[in-house]
Amino acid sequence: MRRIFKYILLISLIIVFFVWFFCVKTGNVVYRDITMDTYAGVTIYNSRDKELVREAWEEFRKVDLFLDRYKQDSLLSEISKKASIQPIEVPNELFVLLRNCLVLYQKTGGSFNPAIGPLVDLWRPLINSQSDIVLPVEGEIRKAINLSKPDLIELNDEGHTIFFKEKGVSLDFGAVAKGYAVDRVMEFLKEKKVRNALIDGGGTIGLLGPPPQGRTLWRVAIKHPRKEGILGILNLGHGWTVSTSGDYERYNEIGGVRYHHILDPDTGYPTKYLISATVVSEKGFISDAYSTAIMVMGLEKGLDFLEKKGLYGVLVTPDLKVYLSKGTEKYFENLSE
Amino acid sequence: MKRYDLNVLFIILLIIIFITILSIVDINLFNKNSFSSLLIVEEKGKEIARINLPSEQKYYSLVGEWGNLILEIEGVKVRIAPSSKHYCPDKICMKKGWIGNLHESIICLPNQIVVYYEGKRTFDGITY
Repeated sequence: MRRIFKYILLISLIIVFFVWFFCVKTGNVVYRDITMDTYAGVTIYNSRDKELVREAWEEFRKVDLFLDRYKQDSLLSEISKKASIQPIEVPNELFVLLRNCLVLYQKTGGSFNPAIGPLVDLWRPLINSQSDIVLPVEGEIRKAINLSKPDLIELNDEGHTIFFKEKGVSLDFGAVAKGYAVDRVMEFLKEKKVRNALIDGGGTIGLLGPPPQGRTLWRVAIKHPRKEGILGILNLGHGWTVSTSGDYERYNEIGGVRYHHILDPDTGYPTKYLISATVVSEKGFISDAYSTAIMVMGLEKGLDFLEKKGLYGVLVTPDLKVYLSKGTEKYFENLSE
Repeated sequence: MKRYDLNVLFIILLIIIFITILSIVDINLFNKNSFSSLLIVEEKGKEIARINLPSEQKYYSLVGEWGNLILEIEGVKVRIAPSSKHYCPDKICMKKGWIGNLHESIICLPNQIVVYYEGKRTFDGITY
């Protein structure tokens, strides 16, 4: 009798263990909240570790604090105030980030510009406000263009110092902050040996490991730039990050003209050749910078650029035509037609 | 064996069985979510067929400019029958085989045909 009980107990324990194990393994944990001016989230598949997903998400907030330009005593506002007086030492992370941004500035022929702060500051009140306010005048724009030049920034590798050759120069990492944050979350999750996760940095999507439910490809939808719903779906393997820049996210219409948040560093005005640019890269930092740069480059230069870099991309022109960079057609389902 | 021991064993056993049942119920709930009762076939963005699942009819023949597409249905599972006489250079949709879960779809890019379960032409994330 005793033996039978023991057996039953043992078998029950084994069953319970397997069932429990299976259940735990099939759950997902999600954490979402507002940060970086957007709604960012992390989903870890096959896990129930709420602590971990929360911790991973905190990376977003760290980047937000780190790259915020508008808080009174934030690092970037301090740099803007002081770096034109004398070289100031900055944390290693910011120094490396700026270095990398300057490399991308070169690679994109100036279309991505981390020194675009003065132009952003000029347009920001108009783009963020709901009411009609006056456009910046030509003189102001000229002045801001001339201050938005990376050549005015001096970096000293030994002391990790930054110096602005003119007063009024300011750094703006707005174009890469989300992607950079997605990279940081990705690194964090990899360190923690997480195998499947989706990182949503408010529109910049990072894919870690294979997708859930035994599928082979992740499905990343691209928002339709002019209506509710989606333009199409990119079917992607693991390790990719997808970024989209568009003129529909933050804008203000004055006299029938849409003034949006992506600015051309050469003309000083919002870009107008494309209404949406999606880029796939292994790093969010790069896909973010390139999607912004391609908005500036326009269709032909943009496609050419993607082809040279061997990157997948989906571009949409103002007449709502969808253009794919070479090779992208294999992975893109166009749902807009 | 003492009566006390037996009681303890019995209680432990009950707890274990209880947890097991709970867990199994949990799994069933999870699985139920991944079945749909409606299958949609679209061509060039237009719906061309809407099939209630599970279907009595096993084969559906859809005719389009590309030829004849045969959907084979087994309960809630669907595939493009290899006998379909429609032109397609790479036959990806046929090679895909059976699909049975909500999140799955069959996509024929050359003919722009999409077969999916309703409510679930889904995606994992959205980029904007």
